[in-house]
Amino acid sequence: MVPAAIPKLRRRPVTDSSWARTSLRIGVLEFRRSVRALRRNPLQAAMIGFGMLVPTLIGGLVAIAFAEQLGDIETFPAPDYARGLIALFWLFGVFLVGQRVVSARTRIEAEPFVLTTVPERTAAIGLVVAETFRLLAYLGPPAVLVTGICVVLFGSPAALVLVPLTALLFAATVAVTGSAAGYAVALLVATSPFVARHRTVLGTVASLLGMGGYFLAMGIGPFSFDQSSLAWLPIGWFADLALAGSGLLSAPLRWIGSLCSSAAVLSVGGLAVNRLTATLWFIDPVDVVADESDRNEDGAAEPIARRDALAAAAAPLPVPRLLSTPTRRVAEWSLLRTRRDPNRLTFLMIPLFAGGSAVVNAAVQAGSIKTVAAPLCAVALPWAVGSLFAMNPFGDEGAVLPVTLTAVPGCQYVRGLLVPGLLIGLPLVPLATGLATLVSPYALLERAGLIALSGFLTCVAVAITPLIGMTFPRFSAISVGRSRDVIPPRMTAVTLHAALTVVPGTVLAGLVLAPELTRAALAGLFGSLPAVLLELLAAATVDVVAAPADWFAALGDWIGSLDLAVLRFGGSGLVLFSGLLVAALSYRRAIGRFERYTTA
Amino acid sequence: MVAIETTGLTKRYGATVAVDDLELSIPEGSVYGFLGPNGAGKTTTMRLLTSLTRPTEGSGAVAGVPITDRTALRPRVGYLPETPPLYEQATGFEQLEYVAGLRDLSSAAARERIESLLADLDLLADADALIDDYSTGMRQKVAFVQAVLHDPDVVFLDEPTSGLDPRAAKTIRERIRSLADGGTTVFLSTHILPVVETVADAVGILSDGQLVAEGAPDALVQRAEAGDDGTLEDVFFELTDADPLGSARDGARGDTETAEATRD
Repeated sequence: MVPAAIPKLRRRPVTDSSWARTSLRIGVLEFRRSVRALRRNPLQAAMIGFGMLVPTLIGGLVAIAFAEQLGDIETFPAPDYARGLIALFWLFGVFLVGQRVVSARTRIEAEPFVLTTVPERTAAIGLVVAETFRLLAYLGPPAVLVTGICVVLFGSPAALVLVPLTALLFAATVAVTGSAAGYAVALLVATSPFVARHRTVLGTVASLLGMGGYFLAMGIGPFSFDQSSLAWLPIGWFADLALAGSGLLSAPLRWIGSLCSSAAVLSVGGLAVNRLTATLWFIDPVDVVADESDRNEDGAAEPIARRDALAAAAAPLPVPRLLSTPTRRVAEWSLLRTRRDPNRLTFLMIPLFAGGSAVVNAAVQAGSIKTVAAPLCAVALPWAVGSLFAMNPFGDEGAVLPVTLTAVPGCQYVRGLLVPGLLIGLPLVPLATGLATLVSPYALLERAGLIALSGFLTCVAVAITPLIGMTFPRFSAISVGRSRDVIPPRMTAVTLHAALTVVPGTVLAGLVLAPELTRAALAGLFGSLPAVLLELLAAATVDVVAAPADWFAALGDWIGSLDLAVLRFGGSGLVLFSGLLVAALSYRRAIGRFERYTTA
Repeated sequence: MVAIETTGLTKRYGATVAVDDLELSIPEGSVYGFLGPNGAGKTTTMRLLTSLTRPTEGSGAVAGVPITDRTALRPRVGYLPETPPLYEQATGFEQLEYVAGLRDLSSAAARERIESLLADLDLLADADALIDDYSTGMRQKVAFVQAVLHDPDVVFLDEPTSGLDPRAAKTIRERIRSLADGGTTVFLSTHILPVVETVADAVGILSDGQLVAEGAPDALVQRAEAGDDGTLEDVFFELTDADPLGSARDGARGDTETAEATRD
């Protein structure tokens, strides 16, 4: 049978005249894909939702509780502080967007299709639009809260327009500036052999500088400065624009200034994004591998001597040759992969930013950074080192997984995964902890205890990682729209590993340094807190939970009355033994899982 | 001596039967062409035979080793999946040295064999470039070397000439034939029928998970209604009810192969 002829379409020329509409369409599509990708990961969605909604809810509750007092305010107290804070958030937003662009979004998804369908400017601006929508999703709840407060408490209906407009301008300017900065760095990496070869180190330094700058601006550290000093920046005048009409801030020049500066940032930033992507997407990046090769007298590149190319590539970290060849190769490849593809480690930034900044912030503000630094090193560094190499071993193998499964025995593979973490962690973590104890106020035995704890925790953190990673593997990129090469571990694996490392580590550090405080905390956590909650539940509903409440209260009393020496040595011994047991069992189970793993 | 033997090998995914009661007996040192339309169960069969998937029913042995014993099977088999299993961030030489290490080959012997195989496939000069920068043909060649690096008894090749230009495809075909001549059994799954006609000693045609025909290529053509001047393609269409129009579209990439095979 002859198939029916397919009717021909009238071909329309691809022009750049409707780039704004097409960019918006690309942005909306990319944003929808991000949302859909998030829906497929409920835990990640819940964590992001928690982070977005809880601060707004707390703010809402505070606004309701102090509605009368807020309504009586006639002028905004400390306006420069508010402007400086907004400017600081803007700069931090630019840093985060830039970091994300350079680490995972330097190229558009389905690049060959997109770039042969629309002009590169349309595609680039589409990506910026998508980033703006993502930022607006975060800014939405607080913007609604501020609008509600302005309208209800300050009687300003203009806020219905001005606050959303300010949120839109804030998000758009952050997205375009961050994207331009990210593409600029990506272009540098693509064109400079030096930057390309040392991008991991340079990226880490840049991140530390960014975080350091943020802490300084937040008033943390010996050289901190007042945030009000940033109030002169026009990007901080978004505070004036949002509150215009409420009568709290009366600065018409700043309203105009914020609008004009937004227009300038969007124009210049958009132009920069256009130019940078037009170059970045069509150049041949420098070849780091070729650059690493030796050069002969004529300057021509020669292949590096093929005497153990993997070991040479993984240098300067020597993987001991006494290990079996398969174990050594797995270890060398893990090191090499992490060095050549550092983007896979971006997942570590989330807990570092979220948890690390909170702890350091609290410690510095309490003036106890020297007290906190050593236990923090002893607990947090083992977690970080343990997360580096084996949090997603099956996903990291990718298309090679069938070959790996059919080539190497499980015990040698798992040992190979453990080697890099131990090689790096065992000298560095106790060393860093030891240095931190030098400035700490602790006694000699307590310092020694912390150093020993850091070594022990490093071994446990490294040993449990392969099993967690193999139990919760991720085979697809973190979300649609990002580089297909970036396959970070599942959030479930990261969370579980952090819980199994940091919680017992904190208990052990507490038992070493402050046993009384730890005893009280344990008594509260396992006794008083559940008892109080159950009693509240019993009062509100039925009495059936009253008996368990009494049981928990008794448990709390028992823990609280434990002899300190018994708790310190008995409790520590129990946690240490449990750690060893979990580490050994995890190692065995990981080998079994590798041997039994089947592909779909 | 039998290299691959299966009895009632069956794999189900829920209600879907991917491989149904498969009986195979493939002698040592032969090339077995494994044909079938998309979704017939060819890749699942290869995964079963390489221990990457467990059978629902039935049993099998490769090189005398049960297919459920992955530990014993490892040194005996090599597998080239349809997607070349390569690390983008490695150079060709690093990748092969890594896999040689996994297979516990001594460094000196591994280097010698890698260089010899790469030179044989005209890839030695590019061995120190990143795989990310390789063409499709170069990737396929590295993946092929990787599958035969440890001199396995049985090699499973899934579409080894897919996407290759005629010259590269011919090189791979010649290597497949020389592997078999050297005593290695090659289990070759492909859509490109001229490749099978050229190199296979025996052909099995799989349709909906069932082996619907098996024999030497010439014998299959004779047995089918295709007649004396028929081809393996005619037999394939007849036995699998494949839509010639759809197959012609799918096989567009094989056109160069056909022309090139005719020249052979």
